[in-house]
Amino acid sequence: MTWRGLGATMGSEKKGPAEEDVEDAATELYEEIDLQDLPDARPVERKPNPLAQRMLDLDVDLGSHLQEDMHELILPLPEEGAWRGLHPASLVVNLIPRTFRMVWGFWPLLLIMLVGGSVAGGPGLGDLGFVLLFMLTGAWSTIVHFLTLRYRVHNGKFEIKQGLLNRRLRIIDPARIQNVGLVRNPFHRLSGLVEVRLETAGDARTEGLLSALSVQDATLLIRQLAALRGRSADQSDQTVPVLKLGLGELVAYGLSKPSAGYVAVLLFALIEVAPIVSPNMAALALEQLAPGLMVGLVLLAFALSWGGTVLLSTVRHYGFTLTQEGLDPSEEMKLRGREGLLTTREVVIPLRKVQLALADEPLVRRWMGFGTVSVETAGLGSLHEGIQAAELVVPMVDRQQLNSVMRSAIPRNTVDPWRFRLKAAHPRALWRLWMGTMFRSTLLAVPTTVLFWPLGLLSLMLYPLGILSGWLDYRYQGWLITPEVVIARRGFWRRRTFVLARDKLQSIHLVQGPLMRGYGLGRVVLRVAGSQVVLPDLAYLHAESLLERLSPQSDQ
Amino acid sequence: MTELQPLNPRVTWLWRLQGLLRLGMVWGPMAVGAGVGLGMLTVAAAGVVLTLALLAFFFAVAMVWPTLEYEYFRYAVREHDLLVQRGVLFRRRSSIPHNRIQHVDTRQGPIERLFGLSNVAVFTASGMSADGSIPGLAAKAAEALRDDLARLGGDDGV
Repeated sequence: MTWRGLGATMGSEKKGPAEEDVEDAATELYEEIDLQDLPDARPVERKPNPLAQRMLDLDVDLGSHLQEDMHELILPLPEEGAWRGLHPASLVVNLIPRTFRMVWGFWPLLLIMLVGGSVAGGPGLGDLGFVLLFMLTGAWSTIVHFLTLRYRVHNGKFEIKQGLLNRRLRIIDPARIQNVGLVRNPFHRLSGLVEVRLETAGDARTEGLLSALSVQDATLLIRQLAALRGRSADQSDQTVPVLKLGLGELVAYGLSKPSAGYVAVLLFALIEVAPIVSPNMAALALEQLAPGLMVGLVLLAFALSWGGTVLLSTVRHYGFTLTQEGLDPSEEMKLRGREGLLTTREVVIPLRKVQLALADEPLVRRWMGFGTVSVETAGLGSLHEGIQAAELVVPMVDRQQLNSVMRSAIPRNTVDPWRFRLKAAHPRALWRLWMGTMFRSTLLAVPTTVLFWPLGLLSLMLYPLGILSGWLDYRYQGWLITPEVVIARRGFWRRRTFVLARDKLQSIHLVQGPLMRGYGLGRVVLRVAGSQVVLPDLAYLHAESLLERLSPQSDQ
Repeated sequence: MTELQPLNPRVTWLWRLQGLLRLGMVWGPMAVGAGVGLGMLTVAAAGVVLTLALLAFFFAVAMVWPTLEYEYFRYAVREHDLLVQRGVLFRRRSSIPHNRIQHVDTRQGPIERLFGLSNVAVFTASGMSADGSIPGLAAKAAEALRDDLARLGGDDGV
């Protein structure tokens, strides 16, 4: 079937399983309540429960590496509403990561200490005091975290409270949980614990971060939450493996990652550290460095950073597997991704929560025949290294499989963007692109030519390069609208293909700048929760009609 | 299709007053600074001319721009969505389906209170700035619009 843009086929949109329980979504996501009036958080005594024995026989799915642990479980099911805390071993598990995060947060101070130390002739007593202070603060915050963090499932809601002086309680509606992540760093592995992350929409902080739970506590919690959502947390028999990445693919992924940033960091560190380690040697080396040797060193730094990138990404994504679950109509469809050599991560995303899928094909990776797929929900994961919008990243996908991986996230899409010819941008969009390029090139080329005459004349090369780049960019733009999804593709250097479910559209915008007005063009911007997709430039009237017809009322 | 509504005409005077305040606090001092700089580099007269020219330009913009903005600003509460179009140089037309509206705010600053106007801001789950914002509505009309929009609901797509 050929979709002719917005044809007469609209109105045939099926209601997927996604819609059924979102209707009651008017409830508050979470509330912050002053805890001054609530009783103190105390660990609640666990009572044996007959249900627990029955659960022993159930095959709980927490990933293959966790499943082994599960068979030896004795599961004390908590009473409804009983507060539960972190595992006592969390004190050990959390100490080093928390201290490290604290130190990381104060890196400018550490840098000053490092540089200051070199002037004063090595780290002094004051510096050692700082280090001790960091460690003590880290230990203190770990103890407070363990003593005050309590969670429970109460009245159908998940509640979590923590804090000694600044106490807060969050109440999370299980229906609003976007995805559940299980993470195990090496400390978790040694102690047999697991970190549970429950992510909801609308807040950049990871909601309900339970840093160290025993596997049985984690399992019980996930089961309870799933039961509250009226779903089964068990792994379905109908599990379909979508993708498994081998070592070769992961190494290739690392090789195709840009690593210039690491070179800068490495060089900076070298320049900073060398005079501290051996001031005389550094000065001597600087004097005797021939230009050739300098180039060699830079190349070496590149090679090292490249190697580091390969190593890091291989360790991070080691053993990546992607499975699709819940194909039985009675179950909820889910995507499950597992990865990691030292720190194992497991992410489960219910398909009804998927906002968009993105295939990213940077030039080098594309030449290798691969791309990277990200699946985004409305949940914003605030991991320790910053906000991450994409909850599930499939690092290296063979081009032949790109569509099947994208479809595992948005099965309603029936069009393969790599085989089907997408609709092109309006021809005048190319002129607009070129005008923009000319303007930018002039801004750069004129001062360069004047300042660096006659070598600056080389900057005139920007014009033909800009024209070529604009043409390539235009050529690879594409878009398509089916009754179920919107597909958009942009970029030559970094080709990105977006597929977003139409029933997730939050708002639709039509924008037009002065240059676009001159060419009679308009641009449609589609916003979903947490992200936006821009369609290629179209004739203004065409874009206007898309705005009208993409608004969900047309087909609901 | 529901008729597109203009804003309350008083909003042009609100914007002009806000423009004059910006002129006094930001653009004016900048124009004077540029004039003084030029005067010190060349002759004092050149600096005075530049300052006056810049001040005249900014004043003209502060007076004329609100009329242009008012002319293009239109909104409509339609059966299924809220339509807002705005912008003079960079134009934007936004459609926000009623069922995607998370919350609606009305805001009134001291100057707006002087003119009896309110600002209605509409938020969706897209997590970005307000998806639709209607600045110059009579306070009563703004409250009615806010209540209308807040009443319509449904699947929020998250």
